[in-house]
Amino acid sequence: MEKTIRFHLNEKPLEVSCPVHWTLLELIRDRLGLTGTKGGCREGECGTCTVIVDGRNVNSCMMLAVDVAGRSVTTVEGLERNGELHPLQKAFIAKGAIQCGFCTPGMLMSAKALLDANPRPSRSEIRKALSGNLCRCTGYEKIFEAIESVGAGEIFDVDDGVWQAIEQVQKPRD
Amino acid sequence: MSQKPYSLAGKRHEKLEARQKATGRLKYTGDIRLPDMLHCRILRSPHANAIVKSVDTTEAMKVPGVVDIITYDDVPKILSMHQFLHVPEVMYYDSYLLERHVRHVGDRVAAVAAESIEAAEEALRKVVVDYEVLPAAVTMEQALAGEAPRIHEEARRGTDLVEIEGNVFEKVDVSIGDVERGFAEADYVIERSYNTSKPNPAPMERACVVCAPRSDGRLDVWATAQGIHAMRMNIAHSLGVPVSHLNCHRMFLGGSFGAHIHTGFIENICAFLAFRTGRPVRGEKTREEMFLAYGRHPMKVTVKAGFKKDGTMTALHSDTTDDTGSYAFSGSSKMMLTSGFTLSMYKCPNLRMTGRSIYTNTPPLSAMRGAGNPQASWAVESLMDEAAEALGIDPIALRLRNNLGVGDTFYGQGPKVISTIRSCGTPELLEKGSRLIGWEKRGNGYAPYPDRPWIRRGIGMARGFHTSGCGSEKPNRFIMDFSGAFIKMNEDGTAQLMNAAADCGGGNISTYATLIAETIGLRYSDVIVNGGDTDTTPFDGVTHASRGLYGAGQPVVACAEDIRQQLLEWASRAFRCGPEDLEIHQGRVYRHFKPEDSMTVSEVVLLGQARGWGNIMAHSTVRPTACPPHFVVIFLEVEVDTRTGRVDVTRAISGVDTGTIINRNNVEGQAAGGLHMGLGFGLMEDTLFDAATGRPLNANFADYKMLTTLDMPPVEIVFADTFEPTGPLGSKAIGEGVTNPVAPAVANAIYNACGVRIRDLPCTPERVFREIKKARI
Ligand code: FES
Ligand code: FES
Repeated sequence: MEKTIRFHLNEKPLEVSCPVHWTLLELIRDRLGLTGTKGGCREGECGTCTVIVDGRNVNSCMMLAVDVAGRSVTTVEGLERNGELHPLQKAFIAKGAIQCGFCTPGMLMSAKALLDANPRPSRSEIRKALSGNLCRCTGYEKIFEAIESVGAGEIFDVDDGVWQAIEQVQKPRD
Repeated sequence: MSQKPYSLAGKRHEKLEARQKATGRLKYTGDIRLPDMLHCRILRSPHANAIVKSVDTTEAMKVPGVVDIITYDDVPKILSMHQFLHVPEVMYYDSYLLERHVRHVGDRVAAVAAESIEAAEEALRKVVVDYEVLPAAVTMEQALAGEAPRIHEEARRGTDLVEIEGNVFEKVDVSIGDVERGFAEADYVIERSYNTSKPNPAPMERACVVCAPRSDGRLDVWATAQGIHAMRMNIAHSLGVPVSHLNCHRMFLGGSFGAHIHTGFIENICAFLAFRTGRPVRGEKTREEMFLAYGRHPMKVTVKAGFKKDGTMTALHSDTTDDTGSYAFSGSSKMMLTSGFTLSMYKCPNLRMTGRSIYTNTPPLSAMRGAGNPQASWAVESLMDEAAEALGIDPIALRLRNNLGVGDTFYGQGPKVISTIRSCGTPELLEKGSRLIGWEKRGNGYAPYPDRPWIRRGIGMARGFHTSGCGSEKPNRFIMDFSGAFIKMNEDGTAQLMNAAADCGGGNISTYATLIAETIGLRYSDVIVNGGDTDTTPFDGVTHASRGLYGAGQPVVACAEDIRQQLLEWASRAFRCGPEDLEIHQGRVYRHFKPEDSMTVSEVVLLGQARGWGNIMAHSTVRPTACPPHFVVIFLEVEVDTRTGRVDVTRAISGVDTGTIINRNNVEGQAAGGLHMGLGFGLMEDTLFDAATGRPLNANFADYKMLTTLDMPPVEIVFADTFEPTGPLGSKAIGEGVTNPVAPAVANAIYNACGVRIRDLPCTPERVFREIKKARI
């Protein structure tokens, strides 16, 4: 059985019909073709499908598509503004927080939900906010650094068309 | 060291594809949608060992949307190989696309192609299978028991039939020197057994394949593969078609860690279905199927070592029992690797390796980050600490005494890959790491919190390495370790690379751009790396064994040097001077003594075009003649709750000897990520199967634990200042070494914290608590 729903996707109003048993992830990826949102498990355990619904990060594989009727959904495709990357995207690129990149869209959405609510989070607040997002590549360290750098207002500019992080001299602890 | 001041290498670069990944625009295999595409699902056995007596697909075929269903009766009767890195003559051939004898829970009985996943799954429910259920051998002990069920009737190694004794399909016994004499000369002999677990590589991306018939009768294949040429070879072989009938596309992978170092059956099955139906066919594993398909081989490693009083090792014997699961994807190579690595950890004149590889009724295993080395490191690095204590020598001093360093030869990837060490940062890293963690001040059972005396803090370390690829001085007949590359110059001054090495997330594709820009004298942004497919790229020996930069980078540098010479030669015609009077910098050609005379690389190419000089292009194929170990030293601080056995890692130092750093972001990311995976191996990761039925007990991310953001300690990284003369710009690898010694560092830290020695992985709270309780009695 199909049902027609209306909601905002990446700030644009949308009317779409989909089977009532579909998850939001299926709607986004399979019907709307926005494949930036990933499905690492489809069981609510990895966070690669994270999107923002009315300001909160949710696992889109665990939410029925019809339940977003009347709500506002942001996916990774909605982060850019007029062709300019979101500061989190710039920071992830410059800091090397993206390895295989498969967790990245979900990480970015959880990080955005965090920063929208708490613009200068501590490391432990970041850890808590991302605890539902698994990453198999990075050991999380550079993801933390990237989010902190946005919180601290560090700006990454394109130099020679290529992002380079500002070199921080690491002093060995004696 | 002898490092040149590079203009690009050593910096932090944006990876070429990073923006596409950050915006969600990069298409991974699973994101490909083609018109008219069918979806494949596989009917899997609920039994660990059974004969499929009959399959009735009548009702299933009636499900609307079902287009094709295949069973054992339909598939080519060609025993197939799966591994990507070995030469076909040594590979194991012990499976068909679908089986009559199913050998693990989740083994392949039938495959459906349908218009939708729902229809395919509905059909699976309607297929009626009559099984004759056989007793199963799920554990190593069961498989080795006298009355064990026979898991394989037939298997071939190359063209030779394998003699399977019980469930043992290969054995090894190799000696170097005289171990008996070595043990007789020893003042102290220690023998211990260590067991490892069965973690899953668990890349975040699930394995996926899309196969599409082309108008020329061939097939396009997009798949999560660590090597497109080897995948093409395996699919073609199992289908009985020439390799050129397939064009396999290089895809960025969402992690891999060994999961995609072989065909995992869906690739071949979807290709077969695409040929049969004439339509594109897509298959994607569920997360449960991912857990029933891959993993690091569990091993029992018994190590016997003899030492002089001063700590000098006189003899070493390792005995390894290796469980490959139900199919020998990597033959006995993992057992050989573990044995070889065990013997190669330290300098010792008298060595012996014995071992056996066995089948069990569990999912087939292959490589996972470290390929046999994590098992070897677990055994040897635990044993070194046990021996150090007995000898009354500091663990670091014992390691230094037996250090394998510059000028020494070692077994790279098993005893057939022999290589000489030309750079070694171990002593430097031991020194830096021990200073950073405060090694001298470490206590024994130290209780840091007066109000919580049950918390004990400890510091532990381990050292290890992994090879950079599998090159050896003489070619070996065992591993295909060579790569190729083409580069051409475009009229706008950009260089374009065509090669096939997969990027699993480590960033090696971007490092090729750095190598090219640095070597020719271009800007990083002047390099384009093609997606690449098997039609348009030369063979590449798979991104495995930490060879993505070291191995596949060598022909890239060779091409870039060639291109540079050609550009200089053309420019010298324009400037009417010798090429030696010119240099290329940031995409411009300058005259040494008249820098105001310059032209852009683009102008040089255009000039050649206008004059009819032809193309500037280069090709290269390189077989590396070394596999330099990248050494790693790990220091950990842990806190053990002696009331519960819970272990928290509170500090972690990863010391890395990777030669010249190409992209600093990449190497730091590898070090932290490798630590993450090593801590998972040490503390929690293991796939579990019911010993009676072979059913999986934790085949999902809720029950299979890996470290989350809350568990991961802060990571401190130190580098050794080394230069590898055989490597691209002096670099060597990093990807696997950074994982290999982590688990034994955990166990050594736990011992320092609370005096219990864990010899079986992982060091779960239950296990630690049990040992603490035992020690108290
Ligand atoms: S796909 Fe939704 S949590 Fe994994
Ligand atoms: S970057 Fe690969 S899973 Fe996070």
